[in-house]
Amino acid sequence: MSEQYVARAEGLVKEFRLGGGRTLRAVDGVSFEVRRGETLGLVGESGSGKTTVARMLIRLEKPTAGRIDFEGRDITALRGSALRTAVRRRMAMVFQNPSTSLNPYQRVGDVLAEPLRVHKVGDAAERHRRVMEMMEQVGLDPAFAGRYPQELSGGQRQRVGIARALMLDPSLIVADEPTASLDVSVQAQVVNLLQELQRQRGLAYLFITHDLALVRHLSHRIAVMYLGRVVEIGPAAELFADPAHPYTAVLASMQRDPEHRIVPTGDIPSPVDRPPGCAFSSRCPLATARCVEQAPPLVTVAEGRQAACHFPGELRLGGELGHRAVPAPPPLTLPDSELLTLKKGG
Amino acid sequence: MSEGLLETASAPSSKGAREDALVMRDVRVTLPTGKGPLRIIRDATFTVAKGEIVALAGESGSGKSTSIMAALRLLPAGAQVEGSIILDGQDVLAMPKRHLRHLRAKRARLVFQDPWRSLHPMKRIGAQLVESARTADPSLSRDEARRLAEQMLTRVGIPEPASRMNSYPHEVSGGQSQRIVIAMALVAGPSVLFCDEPTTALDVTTQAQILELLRELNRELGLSIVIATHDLDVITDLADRLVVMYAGEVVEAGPTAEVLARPRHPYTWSLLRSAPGSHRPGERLHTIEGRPPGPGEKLTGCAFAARCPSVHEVCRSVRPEPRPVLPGRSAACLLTEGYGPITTGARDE
Repeated sequence: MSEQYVARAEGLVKEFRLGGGRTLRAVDGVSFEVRRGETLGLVGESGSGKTTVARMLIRLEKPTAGRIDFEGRDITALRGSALRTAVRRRMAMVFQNPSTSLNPYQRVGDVLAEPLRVHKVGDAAERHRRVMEMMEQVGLDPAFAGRYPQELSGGQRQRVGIARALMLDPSLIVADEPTASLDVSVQAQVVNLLQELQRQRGLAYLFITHDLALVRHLSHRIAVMYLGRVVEIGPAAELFADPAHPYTAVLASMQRDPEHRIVPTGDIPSPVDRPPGCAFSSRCPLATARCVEQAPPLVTVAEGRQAACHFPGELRLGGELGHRAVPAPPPLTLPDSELLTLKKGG
Repeated sequence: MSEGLLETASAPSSKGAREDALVMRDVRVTLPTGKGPLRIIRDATFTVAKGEIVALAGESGSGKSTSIMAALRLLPAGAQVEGSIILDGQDVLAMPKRHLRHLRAKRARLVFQDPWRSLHPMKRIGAQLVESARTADPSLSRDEARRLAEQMLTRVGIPEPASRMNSYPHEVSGGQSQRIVIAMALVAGPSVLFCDEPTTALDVTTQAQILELLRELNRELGLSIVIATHDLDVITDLADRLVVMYAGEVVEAGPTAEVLARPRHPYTWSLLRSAPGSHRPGERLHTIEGRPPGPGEKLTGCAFAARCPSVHEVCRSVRPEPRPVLPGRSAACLLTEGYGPITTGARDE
């Protein structure tokens, strides 16, 4: 376990068989690593394969081809008790919708004790103690242990989802849009919690989201997927400041002033009939005949950065890197005396 | 509450109803239940001028979607609506059912969040567009309606519209479905388009395309657009004016850029401050502790008092009305600079 990374995917492929002898290649040769204690953001449009990648990494889905290493061990084909001890105890998932990923008939305390019970950790008293500790740590009132999920707010439910993922003290958490169903003010609380837990426990996150401001905020590195492939991977700040792949440039431009946006035409192509060349060529403003015919491989374009484009860095961004100006606080004055007298009078 | 107050609160609408696409005045939506009434909208007042894009912004439960549903009288049976709603110059609350149907088919159209659920899965796209056009204008012949439908599909950027007319909704992508839903609204020739979170179900690039389309339609057709959203990016990109709602009340309103740069209500400020985009990467996000009051709760003072960073003792007992605080802007906060003197006391609920 001396490696720098906690998990590593190499050449992952996932095919789904459709009717009529056709296959859908949802993931097409994806390689990346998640380093210890880092957040790797995974972004891409719906249908780009990011959720399938995450599900393969955590072994909820068996890869058609490729290899997954986790904590220094090849887990691609593990089964049974080996899978349970090497993977299930050390990786966990936080789901998008806390309302559907929690059993409505299970009290919060039981939800949290279940992972311990399944993996036979401690006795009942020990488990109870751990549940109480964990609730404290994720900012849930321990009195909620006896409540059912529907008695909690959305933010509290997502705290339960996070606490459940942490019960077995994993080293990697896969979070699939964990704040997408939450309001902005509640989202901020959950994001802060995730970052605190990361600092305290040295957790690594694979964080899937379509919220660009959020992924930029909390990722150390970002992998951008398009139609089943990683088109660019690198440090978050550099990716947004100076994107190498035109699709990344399109995404990064959404964080800039409206006049500097690059809005592509058309839609993501179908993964059933993959175009032979670059998958983005049909929407790319730079595309040439070469892009249409020849798929560009993912190559190193700078220190720690890789991109799959024949013309990396050529689609430049205009304008300032969108950093939403922090609004000035509203000027507040003391309520006028009339109001105070009114209050006293009433 | 006194008449004088009403006038100041709704100053932007004083030009008269003819120039406004929508005037909501002291609208109150209550849903009686066994456990007591749910106050979903608590005296909301705002106007949408003709040709204007107004965003109703707020978190879930703030009443933004309900305001749209109330304007079209599409609330669930049993919901009680008080106040006055003038849509396209007509009194929605006093209107007979038949007129209401015509208004909804022709003058004021609604686009939902999820385009898949707005389209009939078993009917061809062309047939749905033709039906929409002919419901709005029964004098159209089938052929005329088809030509109009094709024109509108072209207008919203659907490639090969003639062959798309023969497709079923499951054969088109999410972004295209939302364009088709917008085309379905446009064939009726509406003057107001209501959009309830129109891009929430879509990808970032598709969202950018749809927002661009809405802006073009607003400019070219003079369409008034009312959009309910929680997404700051959508608001920044699209809206001329912003109406911020909280717990069923309008807490702040004004031109978008001004409100975003210099909010006057502590809630607006707290909300803007909690967005990840206004922080340095990795920095701890500002949060708003607690959560909004539920619709079943009876409020004594300001709805935001329990979470407000600058709360004063009076805020808990005196209800702030929206007042003009700057030219073209209003806020409902007793403490904000420019807020006029108080003439009313406790909340009349």
